[in-house]
Amino acid sequence: MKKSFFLIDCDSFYASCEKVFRPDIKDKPVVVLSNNDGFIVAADRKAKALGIKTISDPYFKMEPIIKKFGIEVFSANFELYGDMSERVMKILARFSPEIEIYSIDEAFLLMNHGEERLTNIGRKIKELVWKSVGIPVSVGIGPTKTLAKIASRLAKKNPGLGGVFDIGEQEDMDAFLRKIKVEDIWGVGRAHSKLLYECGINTAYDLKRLSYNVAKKQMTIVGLKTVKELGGIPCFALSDTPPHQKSIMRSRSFGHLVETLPALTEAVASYTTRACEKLREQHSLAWVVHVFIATHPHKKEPQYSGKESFKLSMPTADTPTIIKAALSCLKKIYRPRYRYLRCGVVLTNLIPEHDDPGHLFKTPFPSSQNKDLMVAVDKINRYMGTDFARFGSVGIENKPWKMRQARRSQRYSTRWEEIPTVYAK
Amino acid sequence: MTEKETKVTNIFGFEKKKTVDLPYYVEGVRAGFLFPADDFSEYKLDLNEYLIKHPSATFFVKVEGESMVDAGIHTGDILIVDRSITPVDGKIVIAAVDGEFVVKRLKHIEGKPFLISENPDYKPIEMEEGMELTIWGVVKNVIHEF
Repeated sequence: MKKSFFLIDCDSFYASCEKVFRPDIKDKPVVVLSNNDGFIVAADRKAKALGIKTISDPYFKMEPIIKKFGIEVFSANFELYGDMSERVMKILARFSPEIEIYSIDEAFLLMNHGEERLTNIGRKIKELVWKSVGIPVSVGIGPTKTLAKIASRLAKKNPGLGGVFDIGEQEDMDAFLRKIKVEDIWGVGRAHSKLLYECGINTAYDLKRLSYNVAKKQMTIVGLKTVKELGGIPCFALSDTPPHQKSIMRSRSFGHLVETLPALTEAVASYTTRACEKLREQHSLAWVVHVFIATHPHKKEPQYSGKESFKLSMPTADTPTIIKAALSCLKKIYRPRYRYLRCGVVLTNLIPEHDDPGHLFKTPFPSSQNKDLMVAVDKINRYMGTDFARFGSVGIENKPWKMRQARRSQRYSTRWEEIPTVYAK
Repeated sequence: MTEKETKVTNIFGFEKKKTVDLPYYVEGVRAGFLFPADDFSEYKLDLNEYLIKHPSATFFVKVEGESMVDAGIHTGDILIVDRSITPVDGKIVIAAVDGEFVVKRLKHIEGKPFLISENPDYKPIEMEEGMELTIWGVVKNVIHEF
């Protein structure tokens, strides 16, 4: 049976979340600041049109423009965005059991072709999400993930399409591919696009016509897959998005059974450190930390196993922060008088550090020194062997850091004290 | 201490914590004695299940003001708002009027939309030209503490 990929992408997700609860700023430009209010991490279309850039410049540089045009400024409110994201994803999941949540504001759906025109289904998705949650989305549809991504881009760029575009039903698909620059193709990195430009390959159309041999040679297997995908041959399945691991787990069975909390603490801290290294290696941030412990299932003695999760207030790759979360989980599940065989740490809800909207988390580290510190520690350990430099939990006290969030909005949908007020007057 | 790598056997996704009361008799029958409540023991009353039909579209809001008292909505009450319900005539709705959320009853009179109060002391809001009316959601229930 013929299938198509749908990419559903929330428009200016963070700004849109803020606007759901603020009818007074419905038509105003909005920017959202990073965790420490140091950078602009998201801007809606209107703010971008006024010259706001979200990538490189610190907030203070943009302040004159912000003041001049009366742009609304918010500190990032991850609790709100996380809850709104979950709502959107649950609605999407109703349309197809085959769903991949790609990031906080994007998901792929895989759907069979039936009686109904796919564009119609796309419109229904868009309408239902808008009605239920108040978040505007764009829907790109295509025979492969790469083409669905391109379709979504076209849907966003061309207001006439009404936010939904099926590239698969176009008679002259190449005409659309000619409009897409290679650097804007999913999976083509900046380095590759430079190389491609030098070879005179400028658009998605040019890349599609590249021979498989050359593609594989110049751009590795991922590049070859991209070329095939542009030609309508699916190579990336759902959840098979190449560069990213979706969860990181570090777990061991102990050589002998362990009974005390300090011993488990040391083990959990150590595995968390390992998991965090892996996290930074793949340039990801984690949002949720899970810890589990278990006794020996085949020993004739009292059995116990426990697991606990902790959702961090924001995605991070900061080892001390994650250790702290992991140990708070451990404390909750630890029961004395059992002898434990296994313990482990799993990091999930991973977000790419630099992906769009990954760079929204411009400061995933509590302070700028910490990122440098992390990198330094990783380097030292690579040279000197595991755990040569280590985080104390295990000894050294972790300083709880305070985030600067001067302009955070209410957590409208997750805290009773902060729900919106409606007037009966 | 020797350690050996173990494989990933189980990765549990993140879920909001929910307290679950385990039914007491779920483990089966002891010594041939059938406890008649066994068949029913798996049921518990869950207010969420009763009140919230569309969790993804449901929000809570707090009321300020007395214009809806005759509909049983008082200052300080919490309203359960379902955005996925279609705001037809006669529904109590949350509307965004001139940048503010209000709770009113939606009524069309001679084709024109009105936001009606449920308190004789308050006048209905007529949607005039230039005023912007957006229905944000439909009020399903009110939580009032006596």
